[in-house]
Amino acid sequence: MKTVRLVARILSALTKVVALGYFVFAAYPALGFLLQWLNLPSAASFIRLEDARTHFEVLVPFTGETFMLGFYQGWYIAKMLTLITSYGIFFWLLSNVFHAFAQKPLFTKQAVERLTAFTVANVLIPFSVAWGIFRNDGDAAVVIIALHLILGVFSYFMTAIFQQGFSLQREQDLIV
Amino acid sequence: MPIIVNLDVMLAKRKMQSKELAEILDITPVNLSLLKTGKAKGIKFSTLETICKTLDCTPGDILEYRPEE
Repeated sequence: MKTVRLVARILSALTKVVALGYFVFAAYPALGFLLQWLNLPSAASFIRLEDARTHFEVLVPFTGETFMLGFYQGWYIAKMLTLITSYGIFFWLLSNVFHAFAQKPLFTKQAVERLTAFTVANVLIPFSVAWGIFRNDGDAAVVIIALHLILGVFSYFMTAIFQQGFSLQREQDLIV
Repeated sequence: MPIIVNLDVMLAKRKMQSKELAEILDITPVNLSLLKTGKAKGIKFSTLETICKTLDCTPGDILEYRPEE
């Protein structure tokens, strides 16, 4: 179990960093677009509009280098930011699940809650986000929903195992 | 529960404090309290052995079967 806990701790830290990265990648352009819509001059250091304001380029801070491109349309921007934020949430919840595997004792109420949150998120978020926003984008939405549903099903069974383990753990704790 | 734990009685007879016994058993006073009040689901043989050794008694002095009416 020592190795499992070590691997879980490493994966938890890695996925938390990835999640924070996604949140930053969502928050930074969002701030830029907000400043742009408020017509503030500081927006120029975040976003550059090209091709008669039909395209945008999100700039790397203090460099002027482009790291994100897209159509300058409200719907497109909303889709992009929702997708990035959703994956931020996904990796954050995944990090919580890995963190649960690093705990001693393994079967705790917190672990059950974290797995439940991951299960619910993998079923509900892809359905609402992918189907609501990307259903017109070909098979991409179906593939995303299917992959997350598979994860959700695995997580559902894992939650059931943890729930059972938690009950047994509580019984065990009452044997002195 | 028809199994009665008479640990309190034995502790009083041997003039020993619960805290002291908990330390010898290497369990928390809360867990010993669970055992004394009959809220525990079970007792390990190793715990029973240490109790008997410490209090110089037999399992029968600690545990008693009293059928429920």
